[in-house]
Amino acid sequence: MDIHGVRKSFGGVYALRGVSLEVRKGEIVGLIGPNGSGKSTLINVAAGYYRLEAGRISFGGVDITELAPHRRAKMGLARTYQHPRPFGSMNVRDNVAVVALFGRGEGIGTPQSAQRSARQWLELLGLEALEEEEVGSLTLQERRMLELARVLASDPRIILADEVLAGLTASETERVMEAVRKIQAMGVALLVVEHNVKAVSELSDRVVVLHEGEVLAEGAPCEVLQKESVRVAYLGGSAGDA
Amino acid sequence: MRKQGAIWAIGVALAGLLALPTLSRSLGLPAYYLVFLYFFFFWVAQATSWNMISGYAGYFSFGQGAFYGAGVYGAAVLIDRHGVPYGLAVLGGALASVIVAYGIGLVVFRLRQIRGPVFALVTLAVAIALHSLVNNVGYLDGGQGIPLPKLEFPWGLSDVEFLYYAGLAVGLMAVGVGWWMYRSRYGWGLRAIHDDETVAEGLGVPTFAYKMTALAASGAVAGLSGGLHALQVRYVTADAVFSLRVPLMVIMMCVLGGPRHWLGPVLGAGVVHSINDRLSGPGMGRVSEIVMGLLLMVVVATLPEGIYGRVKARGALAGAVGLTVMGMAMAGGVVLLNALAIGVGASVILLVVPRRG
Repeated sequence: MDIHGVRKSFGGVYALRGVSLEVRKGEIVGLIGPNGSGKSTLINVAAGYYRLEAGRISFGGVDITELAPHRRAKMGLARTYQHPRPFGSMNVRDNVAVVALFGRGEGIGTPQSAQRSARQWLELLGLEALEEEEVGSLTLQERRMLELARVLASDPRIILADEVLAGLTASETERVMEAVRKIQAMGVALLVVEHNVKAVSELSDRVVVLHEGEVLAEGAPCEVLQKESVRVAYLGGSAGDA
Repeated sequence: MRKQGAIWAIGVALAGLLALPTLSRSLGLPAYYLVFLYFFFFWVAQATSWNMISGYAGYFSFGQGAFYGAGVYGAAVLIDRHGVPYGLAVLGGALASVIVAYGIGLVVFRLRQIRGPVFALVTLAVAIALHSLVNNVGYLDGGQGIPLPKLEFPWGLSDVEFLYYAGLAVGLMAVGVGWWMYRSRYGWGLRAIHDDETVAEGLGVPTFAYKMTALAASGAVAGLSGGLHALQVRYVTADAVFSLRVPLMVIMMCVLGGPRHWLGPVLGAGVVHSINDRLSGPGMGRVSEIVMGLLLMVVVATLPEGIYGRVKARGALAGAVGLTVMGMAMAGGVVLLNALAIGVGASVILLVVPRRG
């Protein structure tokens, strides 16, 4: 996915001021930055929920700037939500099955085959015991895993993962990170928005730092996180304070 | 095995319904039984139509009167003003309703913020606007009402028998479409839209196209049933057609029966119509409203998924109790339709009573 010169404002205030970034096949790119830096706006722009004022987005060589979200999903672009949003009237299995039905390309033909497919994704992420559960009874970590199972069922080529680790304990974080690594091993690219800098640096092949709607730094995690400008912007102090 | 049993039960019920007019004629039963069933089919079609957009997709509508009214007036105008054969006129009524539905959809769904209560109000406003239009345009009505001529029906059928069969066909078609929607990929997409439209769109559900299709299908079914109903009432007036009766009745039927399942509107129509029909005599209108209002309050408070949710668990028991009570009432000298209403009431009470423990 290639995001080029993207600009977006709300009520005259720019949330993105000409952001460009690229996510290559099978790569994990960490997107970090302080609150209000434009991370969530960028995810929404990439998924097709906000119209751009300038710039373009291409995916697999195709310009998708004007495409509706469901058409982007059909091309293999999937997203998760910071606050998991499962379909409340469906159990765990059907939450995954409905996505399999409408996933990349034509999706899976019938609800029955989609339910069989859903079981496989739940097994992969260790959720098979919960398949008949109502989503209201799940813990936060289970809901996050369900979000991942759901996007996997769409047979994605890239996942825009919005803070999948937020609010998790250390052991839960490790489980979700393991799931993310499994997903990468399947050849799926991920753009991971995250506040947990340690986790991002462990997971990502590259890191992009956003600050006030602009790309502040980009590169290998260990190099980027050592930059003085990043430490000042992101951690709110000098390298010595951090 | 269970599936086979269900197919047999449906086959037997269908054969019984098809044979009923002949049976009724040979036994010399009152024609009112067929009229009673025609109205049941009518309400099944209207409630199923409402459920397609409001139950499945979650877009709560107060505009059922607009779809139904477009069907009634479409057919009446074609017959009275243009001499169109009634079969074609009824189809014309359905088309008029689809056009209204499509128009609402294009305006409401293109402007994405129109959801929830605002959607409900917009649909109500369309029904009110249509009422006013029909009342003020002489070609459509002009406030005079449209009397329809007595029509000749094929195969020597009386008007009551013809309407019974046509109503049965439209009702079955409506339930068939509702059933297919519920089980198909399309229905899964509507359910996702109902739960969270933004997420559904992002995961690949073409929400705009799906909602437009649901609205158009809802309009087609309501319009077809409305067009046929013009032949039943034979004197259509804007005040009666566009009153709040139809939207309120279908909402009550679906909420009572269960708006998330194809069987919900059928159950709701059965319960409401069988009880309401018995409370519709002179001076009984208020009693009917009170009974229905109370029933609706109890169901909404105790069974948010409608009585369908309980039918799965205790449907057989409720059916047996209902039939027993009905049989006892008839043995005690109560006439058939009164006994039916009492039996249905007993079944509903059993379904509504909370589980112990």
